[in-house]
Parts: sequence; C-alpha cells; structure tokens
Amino acid sequence: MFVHLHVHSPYSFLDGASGITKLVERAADLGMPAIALTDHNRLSGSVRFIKAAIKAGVKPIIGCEVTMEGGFHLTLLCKNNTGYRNLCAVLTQAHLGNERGSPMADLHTLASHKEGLFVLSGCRRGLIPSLILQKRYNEARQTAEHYKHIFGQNSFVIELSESLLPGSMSLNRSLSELASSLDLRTVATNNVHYATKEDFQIHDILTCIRTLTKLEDVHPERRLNSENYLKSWDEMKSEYRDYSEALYMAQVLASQCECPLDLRVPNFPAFAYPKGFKSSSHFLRHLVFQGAEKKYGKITHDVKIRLEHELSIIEQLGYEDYFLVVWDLVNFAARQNIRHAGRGSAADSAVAYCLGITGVDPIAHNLLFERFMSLERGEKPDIDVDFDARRRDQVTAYVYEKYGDAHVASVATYNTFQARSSVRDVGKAMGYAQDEIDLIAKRLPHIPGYQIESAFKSLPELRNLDIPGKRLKVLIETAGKLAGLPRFLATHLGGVVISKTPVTWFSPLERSAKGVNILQFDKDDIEDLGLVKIDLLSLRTLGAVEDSLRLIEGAKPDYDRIPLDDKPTFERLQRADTIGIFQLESPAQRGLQARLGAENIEDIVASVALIRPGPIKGDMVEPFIKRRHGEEDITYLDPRLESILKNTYGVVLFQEQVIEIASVIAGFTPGEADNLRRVMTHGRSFDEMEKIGQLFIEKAVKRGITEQVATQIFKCIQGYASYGFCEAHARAFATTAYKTAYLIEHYPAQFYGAILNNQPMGFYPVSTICVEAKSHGVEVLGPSINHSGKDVVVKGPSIRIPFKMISGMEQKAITSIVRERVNGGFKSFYDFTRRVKLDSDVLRNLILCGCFDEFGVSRKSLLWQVKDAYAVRDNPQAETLVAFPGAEAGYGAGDSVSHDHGLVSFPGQIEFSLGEKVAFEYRILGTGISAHPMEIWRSKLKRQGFVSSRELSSIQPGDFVKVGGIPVRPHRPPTKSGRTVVFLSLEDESGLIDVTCFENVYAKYGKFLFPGKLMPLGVWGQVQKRGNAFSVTAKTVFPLSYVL
Amino acid sequence: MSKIVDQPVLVVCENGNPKRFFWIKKWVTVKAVIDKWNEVGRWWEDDKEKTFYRILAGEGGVYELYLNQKHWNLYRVFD
Repeated sequence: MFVHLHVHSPYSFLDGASGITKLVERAADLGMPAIALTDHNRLSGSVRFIKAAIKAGVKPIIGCEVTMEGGFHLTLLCKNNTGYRNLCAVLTQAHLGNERGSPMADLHTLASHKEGLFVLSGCRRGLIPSLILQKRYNEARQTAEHYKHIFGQNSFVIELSESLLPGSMSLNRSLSELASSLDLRTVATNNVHYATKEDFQIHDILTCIRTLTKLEDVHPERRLNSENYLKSWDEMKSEYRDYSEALYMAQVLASQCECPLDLRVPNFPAFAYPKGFKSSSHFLRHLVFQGAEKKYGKITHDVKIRLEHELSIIEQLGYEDYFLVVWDLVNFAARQNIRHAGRGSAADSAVAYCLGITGVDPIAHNLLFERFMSLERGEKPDIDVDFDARRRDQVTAYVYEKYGDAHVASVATYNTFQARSSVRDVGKAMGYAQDEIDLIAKRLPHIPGYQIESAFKSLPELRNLDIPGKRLKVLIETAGKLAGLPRFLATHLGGVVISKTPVTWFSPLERSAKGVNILQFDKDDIEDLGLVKIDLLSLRTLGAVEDSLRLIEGAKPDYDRIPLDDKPTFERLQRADTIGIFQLESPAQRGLQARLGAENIEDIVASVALIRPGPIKGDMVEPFIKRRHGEEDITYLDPRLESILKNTYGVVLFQEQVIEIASVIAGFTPGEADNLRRVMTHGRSFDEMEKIGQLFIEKAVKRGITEQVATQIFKCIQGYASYGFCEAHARAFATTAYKTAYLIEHYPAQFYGAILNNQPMGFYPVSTICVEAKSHGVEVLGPSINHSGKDVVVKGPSIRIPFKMISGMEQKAITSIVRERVNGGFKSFYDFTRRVKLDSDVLRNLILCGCFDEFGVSRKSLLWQVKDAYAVRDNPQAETLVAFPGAEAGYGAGDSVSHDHGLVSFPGQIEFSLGEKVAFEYRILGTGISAHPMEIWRSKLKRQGFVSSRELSSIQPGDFVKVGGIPVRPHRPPTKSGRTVVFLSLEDESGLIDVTCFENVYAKYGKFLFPGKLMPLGVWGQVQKRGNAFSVTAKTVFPLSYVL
Repeated sequence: MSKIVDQPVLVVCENGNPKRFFWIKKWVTVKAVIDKWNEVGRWWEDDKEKTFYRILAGEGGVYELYLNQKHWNLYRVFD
C-alpha cells in the first residue's frame, strides 16, 4: 500500500486547496495506513492534521517543504520528536534570519539539526531536479553526493515527485539513475496540493491570487494540469510502473516515522514565588486571603468556604502558577497605572476577584465558579484581561522581559476567506474591473464564505447587478469554494504564550508585521500543544476612560469608586440617551433602554445580556421588559425553575442559568452539562443543540415531567445555540457600561473628546459622535494649526479636533508641528510652510479641513499657494515666483514682520461653497465642521415637509413623515421570526433617527440601503413610539438627491 | 524548430499509448514515447484536460499528439 509523503494543506497558504479533514479522510478511504503533511515553511496545520488523522485511523507524519537558500525546495519529514524540534529550529532560522515573508533555510543550520529528519530531494524546484532539468548532470550529482555526505545514506532520499508534466519522464529516469549510481534510495510522491482532481480549479484560483495574476495570464507557478491530487495506490502504480522500489519506499519511510507530538501535555512555567513561601500554592493562598481582607473587610465563613473551594480546584488541576502569572501582570499594570479590567468567565472566580484580576464580586452575585473551572472538565481556565489599548504593548513587553524571549511568543491567527474577501480575490483573478468588485463586495454582508450563494439568492441589493449571468455564477461558486480556507498567518489580538521549555520546541517562530515573534499556531492549536495562552486584550473604551479622566481639570472622580446609584446617570439611560456608552449605544440597546427604564446596575446587567442573538431569537426581550414592569405575571413552567430564574423575572438570560436548568430539570451529569456549555459558547450548531434537546427531554421525562413541559423548557434555552453571555461577563461589561455612562453624563466634553481620541471605537462613526456632542452642549471646534494637539484639546465646554484625525497625518508630522510651535505660534500660512515641511498632500488636507482658517485667508486661495509656498521656503530669493497681486504679503515671512499676516486673497477665487467645504471636511476628518450636510439642505427639505430628528418626537405616533439623513450602520440582526429586518439610523444635524425596514421594504429598496457607497437617504414612513423612543417604520426609501 | 499543426488525425493505440497515426496519406509508426503530459487548458471556459504525447517516429521525426476526450489531434511537428 502506498503512503503520500509530500502533501500540502491550506496551511501552505494559497497553495493548498483541500481542507485537512478532507485530505486525511480521503487517505483513509483509499486504505492508506499513513499520510504526511509537508506545507511550505510552516507547521501551522500540524495539530489539526494530527487530530484529524488519529480520528480517521491514519498515522500522521509531520514534515515540511522547506525553501532553502537560492529558493530551492527540500522535503523534510520528522522521524520523531527530536526531528520535530530540529525542524522547528530550522524553520525559525529560515523565518527570523530573513526578510519577513521570504523564509529561507540555510544548509548549515539544517546540517546541524539533521537528527531525526528524513531529507527528500524535493519537487521540480529542488536543487537536484532543477539542475537535471537544466541538463547540468555533473552538478546534480555533486549536490546529491554532498547531501548524502551531510544527511547520511539512510536519511537522504531522492524524491520522484511528479508525473504527467512535460519532461517528467526523463527527469524521473535521470533521478533514478543518479540514486542508483550513488547507492541512494528513491521514493515516489505526488506533490499533493488538493484531495481530488476536481479541486484543481480552486488550487488554480488560489495560485492566481497568490501570484497576483489573472486566469487569462500565464505564470510559471500555475500548474499545467490537475494531477497533484491524492492519488490511489492503483493510480500511483500506473504512473510509477517503472519505479516500483520508489513506491515501496514511501511505505518504508512512513513506517520509520512516528507522530512527533504528544498533544495536551502541560507546559506552563513555575511562578518564581518570593522567599519565605513554600510553594506556588502557598503564595497564591497568601495573596488571595490578603486580597479578600481588602475586598471584604472581614473574611466571613461563606467567603472562606468559597475561596477554599476554588483554591482546592485550582490546586488539584495544577493552575496555581497560571493564576500567579496573571496576577503578576495585572499587578504590573496597576503599578504602571495602566487601566485594565478582567472579563469573561473569570469573573465567576472569587480568587480572581481577590487577586484584583476581575472587578466583580462573584460571591455577592452568587456566580457559579464551575462555569469558569471544574474538576470534571479539567480544562485550562481562560482568563481574559482588557488593557488600555494604547498601553497594552507595555504589558506584553513586561512578559517578554520577565520570562525571556525564548519562553514567550505571541499567538497567531489564521486569516480565512470570508464572503467579501473571497469575492474580491476571485473577482480580481477572473479579471473583473475594480468597480465591479467594489460594487459586489461592499453590498455583501460580513458573512462566512459558505453563505455567499444563499446571500446572492436572498439579498435584494445583490440582484440585478448588471453582470453577465454565467460570469457571475462562476464568481459566486468559486468564491464559495474558498470559504474558510486560511489566507495568511496574522497575529492574535492579545494572546501570548509563556512556556516552561523554549517555545521553539513546539513551534517555529516567525516575525509578524508589527515585528514581534509569533508562533505558527493559533489559540486552539496552542491549547492542544499543552501551552497556556494569556489574553492581553486591548479595549479602546479603557483608553477613553483614561483619557476622559486626564482631560478633567480640577477634582477628578475616583473611577473605581464611582457611585453606582447616580440618579442623573440612570435618567440618561431612561431617556435612551446612550450614544457613546459602552455596550449600550446600538439602536437595539437604545430601543431597550427607552422601554426598560433602568433603575439600578442589575437592569444594566440584564440589558447587556438581553441584546444578544440568543435572547433575541429566544424571544426573551419583551417578556423580560413586561415582567420587569409588573405588566405580566412571572410564571414558571416548573416550580423548580423559580430558584434559578427568580432574579431575572423567570426569563433565561445567562449561560449559568441554562446549565443549572439542565442539571435540575433533566439531571444532566457534569459532562452532559459541559457539552451543553460548549455548544452555547463554541459549537453554536443547530444540529448539536437538537441532539442535546432530545437528551434533555428524554431525561426530564424520566424524572417525571411531561414531554410537553420538557419541550417548552428546552425551547426557552434553545436560543442559546446562538451567542449568549455568561452572567459574570455581563456583570463585568455592565459595570464598565455604567461607569462610562456616568462619565459622559457628568463630563460630556471630556468623554466625547476621549471617544474621538480613541477612534475607531464603539458603534458609531466620528460624525455621529460630533453631532451627539453638539446636541449635548459641547462645542466641536475644527482643527487649528495653532491650537490643535495630537489628541483632543478640551477647554470648558468645547473640544478641539486633533491633528491625528486628519487624513494622511502621521505621527512624525504631528510631532514636527507641535515641536515647532514651542518656538512661538504660527503667524501665517507662509510662516508655517517656512518652519514646517510637510508632504504637500497632507498640507492640502490641512488647508481643506480648515487648519489655517484662523489666518483669515480663504481655503481656496491657500490651496493655490501650496506649490509656491514650498518653492519660497526652499529658495528664499524666489519671491518673483509670486504670480498674483497681494500674494507677496506672506512671502519671506518671519524676516519682514509687516508682511507677515498671510492675508492673501486670490482674485476671483473667494472661497469654496459651504457644501464644498463640508464635503472636504467629511473626506478628511470624517465629520463636518463648518456645518452638517443636512443643515445645508434643511430649508429645501423643510419646504418639502421633511422633519428633523429634533422634531420627530413632536409627531403623533402612527402619522406618516418624511425624514432624511446620512445612513449610519444599516444592519440585519437576527430576529425571533427569522425574517430579515434592516435597522439603520439617519444622522442629521441634531441627532439620529432610527429607521426600521421590514422585509417587503428591504426587498424593494435594498440597493439604496446597502449601496456600497455613502448615499444620503430619504425615508417616508410611519412614526412609532416605544417607551421614550421614537422611530420610523419605512414604507419608501430613496436617495435624498432625488429631492434636492 | 517546430510547426503547429493542430489537426485531427487517426491514431491506433496499444496499451493506452499511440502505436501509429495517419498523416499526409501515410501511416507514421511510433517508435517511442519520449514524453507524456496532461494540460488542463482554460477550465473556466469549460476546456477539458488533454493528454499530450511527444513521440519519436520510426522514420526519425518527432511529433506531438494530443488526446482530447476521445479525439486525437496532431499538434506539432518538429523539424
């Protein structure tokens, strides 16, 4: 039986077209006892490959097709773990020793790490085959001799890798003769790049994407035929009929290779606890009880019992060091005043709370520790900590410093093809024009690639695209086939691995775009490798909090002790005035706030948990609001549910409740409950949830409940097959939400300014934040060459747009302006250009967004003078360049003060119109400063009966109105009915108008709602009032330009 | 030097390989298959895969034939 020893998976990034499972399952179907994985210069697919192979009953062999110096390939196979470590070392050198993206291993390194490796001479791009193809036989022989000398006769094997290409017959004959003359073995491979012949087309498209060529173009890397699939034993026998020994050798080599990795063997470093403590456990206990004293004042019996329980589980599972490492990081952040907050299920842990990792008291809120860690699961706990986005790198640097570069690396992620990226890449390869690609891609929602076909069938904006049907069909089908394939390796947002052994024993390292060393595995693979990831996440909200506190002059509030019962803050929430507030600003949240009328932090916790796909699809929002207001009786399908759901008015809100219901009602074992938890948090598969449902009903009936009631109870929790929050996470987020609400209520200028400083963040674009700030009495001042800073400047109730918001402005340019200003403010445009040299495009942007308005010269005039201004700067004698009367007033500035006012007007070029100014400001700043576009059109619109956002609340609910504005975030969230409903907001000069478009309206006007470009819209529809909130249900949608 | 012909020809095979083909009113005998390869062509325009044979003829000439589905063509003649 044959074994394929040269196989590429999609982790060869754009050079492997079939998923790992498909490859392995095909090998199993063909009755092959083993299969190797030999991706280009990476081992990223190894862990998944090993798992899939073990599952399929096929022996996994790990290897790699390594690019050597000169660009030649060698195929390396690991005989054992030593070989694997050596391969990691070779690949690390190949990546870190060369320019990023061009890994090349050197022969010397490979020679010194040859132990445990088989070295195959490679495909056509191997040095030996390519010398033969060039008829340089002597050099090929010398190279083969050299390799034999380095790697040994038993470990260096001549590879016959390809058939049915021009020249293959003679190449294989020459290679075989060469091997024979040097007493080397030959092995047959098929240089597999896809599982079946049919997958060739995907591979060809991927090759076009990789080589930036079009299908019509020729490129040497595009394969001539579709022979590189996983061929059967019979097919290989037929093609290598003259090389039976080479076929046999594949099986021999396979039998000499063992799986080089034991998955899930723990590899976490011991924490260096201080002297005086006996162990990590001892030190952890000390810190926990010390923290408990601070948090609780007095350690009560209940607190002690809880902490002992948690510590006992942590110790039994051996994660004391992990907690100490995270505590150490958080402690570092606290010492450095780096704002941070623990999130996720770690907030279920009282130990984490006492260590200062999380900010929610799980004992007070009766949160279940087992949701976070349990003996039954025995899984590694996952502690996520958010840090101020701008300072997170400081924490990362601390980790490297403390544990050493050899033991720390960032986790990778695999960027995969999604709908938009597939369409873009396939469209380019197929020769679509850029505007055609934009039109399609921008109208596609952010969906996984496999949903492309259904999106084209169901979304109105994707119909009638004016693209020939056959061509579009190929695009859609091909793009759909790329779904989920990895495109490239990227850096995980905050995942860092700290390893007891050098990280290169497990993974090669490579350099990320940011210059940090990253592993070749993602977070799931890391866990399987026995490594522990620590998530150092960045949250811009924390940066905004930090900024707002910094911007407050005088007495600042103590953020950690902000009162949780502030009346004005809750009144704000009750008004649904929540734009800018963490987690509570989306239209759905604003709608909820208007009806819920939050009165305490519990209401905010519920809010955060309610507006999630799970509770929405599970139809839990309306019952919750009604019960909260006493408008509906609180009933329970089973009396035992009362103790579980009492605090949430009988509504299932949190994952913890689901698990408890499963245990109490159906008697789920910890294992079954854990499976349910996994489906809720990871799987999200409808089928899996159905299976669990059957089990739930079966077990519940056995415990004496009727099938009908059991079915109803399960329906209540079924919605959680989609995302739902755990209570601990909702509490952690709710606390931050409330505190940001408090800051925005009491320090609006500072907080809106801080939001602008930390863009992009939150749900809304800059323009909406500016409109909101203005509607709350905050004056938004345009950028000024003398008064703006890198960040927002706050003075009283006004905020000044910062330089960094100007398109094209880089840090260097900002620094040069601010630094030069120390020598005195700029007196004129020419004074500025004389003292600061900027790229002329950037200078134009500064002019067009009003940075020089303070000199009283029109933007249009200044624009005409950019070129001359720099000519004068570079050649002070060139005043003759002045081409129009009066312009000389600004030249030679600085020397001749009397002329130094820059009051230059270009005859006949007075100024841009207001509309033009605003258009430039939008393009450059993302917001209008001189005016809002709707302000300019308002009088015209008013004459036609349009009402503004300010006037909407004066309209009688049920009446029909015309409204207009700039569409903000049109989206189609999940609905309980499963029908498509589009929600969007229309931004005008005084705020937002929320608009709902039901399926019939969407079907008709989808092309306007998702036009793929900025298009102010008009809506005619019916006014709705729910709670305190007004909105419009659209009947007609049209481009506003139709009426202007 | 070679000349592209790309004309249908009659081919007699043995064990899947061409044994002789009919060209300019006479049978040309295949002495040896020098090379054999497959080409996919323009799959996005529904081209089918072709198998090419470079053969050494009994009279000493070198030819390229291809099999497209069930149809044989003489593709190229080498001088």
